[in-house]
Amino acid sequence: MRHVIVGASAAGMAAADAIRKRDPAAEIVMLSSEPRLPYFRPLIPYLIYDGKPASEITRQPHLTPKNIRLRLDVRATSLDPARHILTMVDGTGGSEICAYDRLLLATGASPIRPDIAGIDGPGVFTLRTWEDALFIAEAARGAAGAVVLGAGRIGMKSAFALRHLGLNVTVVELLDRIVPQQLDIASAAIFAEAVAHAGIETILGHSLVKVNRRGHRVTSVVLDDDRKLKADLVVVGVGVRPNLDLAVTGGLRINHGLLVDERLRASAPDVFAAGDVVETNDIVTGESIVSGIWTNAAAMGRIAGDNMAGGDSAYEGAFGLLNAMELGGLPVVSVGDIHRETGDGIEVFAERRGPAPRYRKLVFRGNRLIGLVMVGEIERAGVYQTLIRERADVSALRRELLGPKFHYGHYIHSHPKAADRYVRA
Amino acid sequence: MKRIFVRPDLCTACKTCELACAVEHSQAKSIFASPLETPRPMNRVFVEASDGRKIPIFCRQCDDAPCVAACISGAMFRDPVTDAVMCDWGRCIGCWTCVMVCPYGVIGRQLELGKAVKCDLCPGREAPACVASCPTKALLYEEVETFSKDKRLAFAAAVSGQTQVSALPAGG
Repeated sequence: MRHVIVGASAAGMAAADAIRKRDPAAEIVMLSSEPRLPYFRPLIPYLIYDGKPASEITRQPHLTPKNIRLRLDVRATSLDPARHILTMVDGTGGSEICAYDRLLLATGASPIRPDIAGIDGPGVFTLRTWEDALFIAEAARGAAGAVVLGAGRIGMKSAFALRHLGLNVTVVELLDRIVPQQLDIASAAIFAEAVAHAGIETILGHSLVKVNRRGHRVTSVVLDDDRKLKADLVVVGVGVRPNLDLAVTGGLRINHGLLVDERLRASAPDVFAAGDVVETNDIVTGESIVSGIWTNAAAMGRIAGDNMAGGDSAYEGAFGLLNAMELGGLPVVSVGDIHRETGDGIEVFAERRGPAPRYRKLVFRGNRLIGLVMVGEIERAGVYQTLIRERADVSALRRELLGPKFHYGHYIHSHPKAADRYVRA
Repeated sequence: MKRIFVRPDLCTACKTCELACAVEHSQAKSIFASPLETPRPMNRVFVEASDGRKIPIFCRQCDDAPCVAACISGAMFRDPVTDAVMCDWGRCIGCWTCVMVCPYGVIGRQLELGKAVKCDLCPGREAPACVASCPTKALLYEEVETFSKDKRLAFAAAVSGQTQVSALPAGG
């Protein structure tokens, strides 16, 4: 059985691992459009300021499934599901055919470049690949100031990396707070202090309308209120969109992302999909989503790979929000449906404690926990995450959940299923 | 493959295991000197109580460990020799994704170093320090096969409080 995996990041690697576990003899071909050995994409901000050597960003052999034929710098350009073949082009422009028995599309996503005057051209960057990070690092050398458009995770990581190099950094965000997906207003306010403390300026509620250059050099940007900010480079981090080109050539069903069934099969025989390219159900809200989250991609890859190798695993859906990070020395975990207010069947419990900033927000819908934000103190966040994932009836746990120290013992003592898992695992 | 098993009916919540764990994972490995160290030695087992019932909460070294699958830096891995899930501090960036996905809530944060901390089954020891130190033998270090399915099921019922607790014989 010949498995071909398009994509060598979280989803592709998890799939290869799952295939290898079930079928030690399977032939696995993995295609990467990048010239680098597989690496941990979330670590590329370190490349901007040399915060980690390349060897610590590259995926280690012990985390790479055995006996994969890895093809670097090849782009799969068209798919013919009826004939079970891909056409691909390598870095030199040479074209070749690749036949498969089972195919995984883990083609990922690409940064969105919004429609802004002057955005296309030198000095404006997005951050998605290793090479992107090196380009930013190069542009930052000798630069005095940078503007980052978008205060999401990528935007903030870029901002901190550039600040680390001593640049004056201004982050411009259209919404009313930083990291708007992951933080609610109260927690964003806490992080705003940490960001300001790091010397990063933020401008909220505004956007860029123009990038000015002198020759090939960026000199400034213009905001939507005509304010002008000096800048030598611009990093754009306003989100990603799924890489659907290959799926389109194969006539696969798509919407916002590539559509799959619960076995992660696309709409053609023997074609599977996983990761940022997939449109799936939000495990918490039931809405159809395209998630750009590493953890979701790895989980999908594992399910898809298992099914490709003859298993019968069902995918339970993705988290629209499932993120942990540390920003400015402060940890945060955000899970599920957090942007809610009490009313209409929703109950929100939020508390902020000090003096060291601590914040906790729990969102309930009926007897279920559906959302969590923890800042400062994030211990045992995974137990809450499990309650959300398992749609557990938490009516018997309400007091403990709101108390200072909810732990797995509480879950065990109220849910036999939780006890059973603890013993068997 | 050996694993730590718990007999909660024998646990008195004396927390000797927590102490032994922290001491074992220190430089001095001494109950007197270890607490003075920086970074602060941390325990990776937690004796918890709810409604008067005590239960030691451990890393289960899950087969499909969510912390390994979710790790964004390549720090979490399964040790091929001990079968324990380990965190490579050279790789860990302190993003806490593992803390977010661990169903049991047993991955801690070493704050001074910004690194994830978890049970490593005490490599080099015959039995993990927690098991060796437990005065009531509430903790066992057994081959998974020895701690048979029936016993585990009976145990699960006991843990969840569905049936009256009946102590399992020591040593399985």
